[in-house]
Amino acid sequence: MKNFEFLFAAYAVFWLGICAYLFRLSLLQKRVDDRIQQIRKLLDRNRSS
Amino acid sequence: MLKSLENGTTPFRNRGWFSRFLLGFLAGAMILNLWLIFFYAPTERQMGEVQRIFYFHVPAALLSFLAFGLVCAAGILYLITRKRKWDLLGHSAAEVGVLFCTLVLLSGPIWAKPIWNVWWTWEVRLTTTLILWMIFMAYLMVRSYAENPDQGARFAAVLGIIGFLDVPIIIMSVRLFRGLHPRVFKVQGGGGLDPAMGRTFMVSLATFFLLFLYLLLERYRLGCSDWETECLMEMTERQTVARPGILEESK
Amino acid sequence: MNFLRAVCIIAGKDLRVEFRQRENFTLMLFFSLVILVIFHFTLDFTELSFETVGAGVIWIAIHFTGILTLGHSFRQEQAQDSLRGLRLTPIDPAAIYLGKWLANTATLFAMEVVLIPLIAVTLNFPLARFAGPLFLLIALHTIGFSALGTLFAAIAAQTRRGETLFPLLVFPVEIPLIGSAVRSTTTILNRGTLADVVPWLELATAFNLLVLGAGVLLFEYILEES
Repeated sequence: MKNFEFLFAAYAVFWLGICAYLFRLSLLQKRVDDRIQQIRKLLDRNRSS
Repeated sequence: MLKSLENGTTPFRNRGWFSRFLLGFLAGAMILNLWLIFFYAPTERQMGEVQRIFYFHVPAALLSFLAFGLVCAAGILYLITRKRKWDLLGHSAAEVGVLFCTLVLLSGPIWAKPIWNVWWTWEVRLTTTLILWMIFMAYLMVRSYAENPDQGARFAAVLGIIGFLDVPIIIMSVRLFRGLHPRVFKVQGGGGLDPAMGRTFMVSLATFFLLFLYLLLERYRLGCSDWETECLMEMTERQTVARPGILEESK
Repeated sequence: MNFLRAVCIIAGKDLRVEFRQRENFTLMLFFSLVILVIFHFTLDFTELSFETVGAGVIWIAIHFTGILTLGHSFRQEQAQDSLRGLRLTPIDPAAIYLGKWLANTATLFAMEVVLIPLIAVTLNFPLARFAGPLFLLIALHTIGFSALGTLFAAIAAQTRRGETLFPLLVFPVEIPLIGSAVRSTTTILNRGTLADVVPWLELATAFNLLVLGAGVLLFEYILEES
């Protein structure tokens, strides 16, 4: 198991990066989706009143 | 987009089957890929375990190049057609490309430390990747510092096109600068040294392509949702302007 | 011919503004002098010979000073909204680009004519011996620098934090040209001939053509009103 710690470090960095990006994407997506729902509700209320 | 929203349809709202299917497939492929990398592929005799970084490192590097090519193509298409989808594609590709590029720049030194005994060397591919990373960081910055999204899209397209066309010149200059003779480098670990290594590398490349595609699609979807929000906001504004009329009709 | 006339008119306008103000030029010269003194205190010119550090000093001084004047070339148009005037003139955007590029190149040349002898004096090198090849190299690389700078200055002038963004846009893309400039100049200062630097000259020419071509084709999208 020569140089195993470097291999481990590299994989950890790699997956942390990918996961952080995915997490950020899903967070933003959720925020935008909520906002879309909100505006749609507002639109419907205005239309029906 | 505004038109189809007014007609009551909701475009691009596909949390859809394709993205999910891709994610499922990707998960399976990634597990297989990890198994291949850690258990199937033989350990390289001189470098030891650390050589297995290459199964991630090289595909990520290749895919970031692909992403930047995509940015360039999308930029050209955007400037010609002025369709916002091309701008979204370019922006998404740039972001995912910079992500992959960052990971390459981080994992490269971790490999270099035990092998070359330095964290960083101004080697051709490292230097080229670093310069590309800087160019496309600038691409993302121009976008966020622009006065409005339309202007940002145009400026970014121009920068993306020039940045990508600059790539061959960068590579040539770095090679000349290091005094190396231009020759094709053999990718260590992937270059047919050992058939098992070669196979693992190909599977890894395919899997990372899927990961790239998934990230790109997700980023694109986020962009579409942003766009939808803008259009909906515009619709509410129109509604408030038109509202007195609506009220009288209902009476 | 109309196109060429438009190019000349734009270039003439900018040079006239430059000549009447002269403040831009004065600032640049003073700045390059400051850079030289800083160089002396960081590298110690008494220890190092011009063969080793000369090229670096020349090109860093040119680039840092040049980035100031290039960035200014479109910001001055913003002052009284004359950028809108430029947009409205019935001139091909490509001609505006080339005109601006010519004016910027001329200003940079004027700055270099003073700067290079200054560096030669402070670094103690016999300028006359290298004058011919050095002139060619500096001309070739300045052309590309100002071509890229003109294009990106138009972008930076229209964005927030443009002054800071401008060097960040120009330098990464321009790195091949800087490498070419420094390496070929080093060869010349070490008594090499132009034949030794042919690959670099080719590279710089390719870069210049690429950037000028891109500028001519893409400038209309940068100038467009949003």
